[in-house]
Amino acid sequence: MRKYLIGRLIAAVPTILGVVVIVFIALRVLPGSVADRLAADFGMSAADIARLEAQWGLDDPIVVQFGRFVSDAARGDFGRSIWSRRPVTQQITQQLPATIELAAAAMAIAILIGIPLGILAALRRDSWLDTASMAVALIGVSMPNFWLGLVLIVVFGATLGWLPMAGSGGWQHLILPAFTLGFSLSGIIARLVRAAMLEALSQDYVRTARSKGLAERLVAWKHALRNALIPVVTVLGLQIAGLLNGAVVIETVFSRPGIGRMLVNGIIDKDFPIVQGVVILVAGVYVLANIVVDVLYAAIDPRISYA
Amino acid sequence: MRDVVAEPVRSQRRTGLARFVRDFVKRRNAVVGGTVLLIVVLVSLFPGLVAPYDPIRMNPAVALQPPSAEHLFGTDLFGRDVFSRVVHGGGRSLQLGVVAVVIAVLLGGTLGLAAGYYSGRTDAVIMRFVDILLAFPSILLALLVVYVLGAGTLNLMIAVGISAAPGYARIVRGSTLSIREQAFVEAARALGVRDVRLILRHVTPNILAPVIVMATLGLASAILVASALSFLGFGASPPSPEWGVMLNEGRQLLTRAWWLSTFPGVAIMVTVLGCNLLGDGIQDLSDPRMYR
Repeated sequence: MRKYLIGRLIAAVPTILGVVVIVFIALRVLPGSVADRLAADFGMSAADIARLEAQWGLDDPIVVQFGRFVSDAARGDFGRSIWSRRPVTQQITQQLPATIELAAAAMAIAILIGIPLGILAALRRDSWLDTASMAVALIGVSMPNFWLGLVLIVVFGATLGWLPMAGSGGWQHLILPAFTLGFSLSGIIARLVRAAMLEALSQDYVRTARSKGLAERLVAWKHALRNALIPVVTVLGLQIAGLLNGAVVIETVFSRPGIGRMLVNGIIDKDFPIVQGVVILVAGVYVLANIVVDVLYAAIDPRISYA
Repeated sequence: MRDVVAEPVRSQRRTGLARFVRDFVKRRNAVVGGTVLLIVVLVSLFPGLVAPYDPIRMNPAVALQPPSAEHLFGTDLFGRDVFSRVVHGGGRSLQLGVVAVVIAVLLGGTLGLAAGYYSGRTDAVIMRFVDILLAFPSILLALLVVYVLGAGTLNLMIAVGISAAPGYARIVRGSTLSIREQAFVEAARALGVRDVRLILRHVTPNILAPVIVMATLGLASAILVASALSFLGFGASPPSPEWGVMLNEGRQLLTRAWWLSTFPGVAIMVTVLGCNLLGDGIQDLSDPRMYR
């Protein structure tokens, strides 16, 4: 297992390096990069821009810039925000906990809604319960989450006054954004659990369990569900990207702190050190998350061994 | 002799299509999704027939009126009819999604075809690049492209298209790998058919089915991502009616005029629901296990 993990981590290095190269090319090399955009958007003079370029080292040859960029990034130094002048890494470490808190709460809500809904739909196949659960799941997948957020703000924040409409603070501030982000994911999970349960319930080992005279409840929980959960773990891993995508929008809707909102503001303000820092960090987290998911398989499915 | 050989093939093809239509009609989700999408497309193509008012003309005298018989979805801050704006916005939002998917299919498809057909080193280089792109969550990649190109409708389509392309590259490569080993491809190659022609005439038609399924479902997510980016302010600029932009405008007056953000959101949801239902239906139909 340790050998497998080390192998995967080593294999992830070129991918992360590739991410760094792409971000570097996108932000520094392509036409219309840093200086041109500042000139266009903020009406800076050529002299001002030349001064800033010299200050940020953007007038060095591109290879020198890349070498400096990679060696700084490897040490976790993504430079300073061009507006606040604070180190990007420091800003990210300040904002990251809020995003993790939101993503984790959303994932918990999605699992709590999605898995029971999917199991119920599979066990009562073709009943009204199945149709209703799948309808809820389909609506969850089709609803723009930022719109759901706005609706929840109007209903629970403005009209009923039960929960805060925006900002951050105690757990009350977390409920609406986490539900907004988790609801669409719960739809994906429910549909997947239903399909996986139906597949598992039609397998020979389930027929054997039934013919042994096991109670239906035991067959469903001990035999079918454990096998059905394996593909669900894969999708949960892949959905980490979905959560990060969602966080970008949801943090803005609810005016919550977090790296998603930091990125959106960075793009609006043309603050390239912020954009490159957040993009590289999030892509790196995503690559690592996928490795963790692969390792989790072995824990759930004894047939898979990486030893 | 030629006709004798061609005849059974043609009739087989016809029964295949007839069977597809028959099975399609039997699948309730596909029919409902297809109908919903057809209505949205028709309304978007001929908005003037449905919308009672000009979507851009301002009329401050009736600003911020709640839904009524006169203004079904109410009016906005400038007295514009929200229903007319939602109807006119459909075309733009659909266009955003469709063009983005076309860009994704062309870009991803070309990469996937080249990787799968040439295999070896070409495959390794292309797929490594695709893997790197897949390491970006899609909105992040789209935002990065928006940062480089700047905001605006066309740039938004390109951004969403690029962010979705790696997925198509993967699926097209997989299908191409299996098709290129088939006897008819080898026969064509032996006859001296050139690579480009072979890829376009023999390989591409045979890998279309999974791409069409993915594109239908992809349209749903492209519309969602594009409207999210418009909502964040990176898409079309006001006053053009586009659902994401309208939602963003409505957000400013959320507590005073709930209808401004509610109806464009419902429009996005209904359209995406249609795509998802149709995509699910076509996916079921393309599953060979259905025909066992």
